[in-house]
Amino acid sequence: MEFIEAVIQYGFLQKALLTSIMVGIICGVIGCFIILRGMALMGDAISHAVLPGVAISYMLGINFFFGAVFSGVLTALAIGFVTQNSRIKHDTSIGIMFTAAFASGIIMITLLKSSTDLYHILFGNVLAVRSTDMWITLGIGLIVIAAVYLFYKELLVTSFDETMGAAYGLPVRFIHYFLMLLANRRHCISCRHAYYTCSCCLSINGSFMGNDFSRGRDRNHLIVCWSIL
Amino acid sequence: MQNPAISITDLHVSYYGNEAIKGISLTVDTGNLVGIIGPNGAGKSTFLKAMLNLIPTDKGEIKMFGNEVKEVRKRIAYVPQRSNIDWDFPITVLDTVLIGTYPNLKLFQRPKKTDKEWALECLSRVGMQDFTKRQISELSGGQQQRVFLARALAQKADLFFLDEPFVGVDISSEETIVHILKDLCLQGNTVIVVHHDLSKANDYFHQLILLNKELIGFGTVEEVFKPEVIKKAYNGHFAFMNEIGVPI
Repeated sequence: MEFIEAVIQYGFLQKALLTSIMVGIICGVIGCFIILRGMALMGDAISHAVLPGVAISYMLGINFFFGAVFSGVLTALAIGFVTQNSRIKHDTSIGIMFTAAFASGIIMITLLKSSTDLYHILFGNVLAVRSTDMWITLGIGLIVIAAVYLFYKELLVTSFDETMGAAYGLPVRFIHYFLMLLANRRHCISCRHAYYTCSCCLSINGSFMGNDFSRGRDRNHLIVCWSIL
Repeated sequence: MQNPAISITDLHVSYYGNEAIKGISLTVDTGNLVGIIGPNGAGKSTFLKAMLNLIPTDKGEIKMFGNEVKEVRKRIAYVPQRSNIDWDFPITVLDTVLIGTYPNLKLFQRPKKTDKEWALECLSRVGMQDFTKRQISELSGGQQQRVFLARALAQKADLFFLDEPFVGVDISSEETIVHILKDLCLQGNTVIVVHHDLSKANDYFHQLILLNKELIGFGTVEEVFKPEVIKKAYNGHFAFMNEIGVPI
């Protein structure tokens, strides 16, 4: 009860609650596909890979968001590239790329000796959500959900049976990178203000529960959204 | 003169520098049920994937119905090896078959009621109409294979490729599948099957492709099932050949 009263009373709590709900839904929707493609580690990787971007944007004095998106996308693409063009397995490629990105981020932050503690970025603070952050979350969330809705068929086929997708002429590589991009988008918004490393737990654990509980896909997404809420 | 279903000239494929397929040329006419046989590691699945342009080839030309493969993709149905499928994927039998209608749907278009009815019809052709709501891991090996055959049927293709469809499949499912494949050929479709078991090959197929990295034999079952031809492919496995009734 106290919590509900507090939510009604304080604006920052309302924003935090709304944003968390949105992040939960977005993470769940895309997390399902990430899990089914065996890319669970990918979420973890991307949320760590934003660190060098954050450090660089701090150096340049620009918004953290752009740096985070940039280094996240770059890492995601690099992981995909290494996997598809070498004998290195996907999980290994993720391990190599994200530790490299994370380490370079740590090095940069240490060298910067900034007065603001950039490590906070890793954990975020849901109570510090501003209105603009909330609207950005909503906007990107809608884009991600719309993309999943519109390309549902293609995502389903390539997640379930990639060879069949390729056999009937789907651009499977392109779809793979596209999903990486969506996942990255999702992470950058959720990480930004809510819980940086926590967002990966959200999407992965939540979706895992959803997949376990549901037999059919249609219910899957709903269950995931609920479980995360 | 009708274009042949598949015509391959001088196909070469290699994996990381090792040649897996060396200079295969052959032509398959429409309406044939063709088995690809050969010992383990002979490149049977590789050959199948190379035909479909799923893996890069070093050299060679592949035409289907006289066109490039990418122009006729929607006329091709492919059934993967059972071991390549994630059976824990949260999908029901009916939805799996419904995926077969996707190639003929436009971008952003969802399967309609008629597509669902068609998927159900395909399921009943393979005798799986009572299992529509099951998750796919709750089926036996033979039932799983039948569901994937139903998915291929749902694609309304002219050319079917099946990779080891009889592995881990019970005998009644095997018979159902062979019966459907023969039916497909009677209707003028062409079916290519990777098969590892020589013993049934003569009952099942019209033509055989015998592979061991290179093309050892191609032709009707009688033409390929000759001791000297088989011996060349299965170099040394004489006991095995005796079992299948090939005199040494």
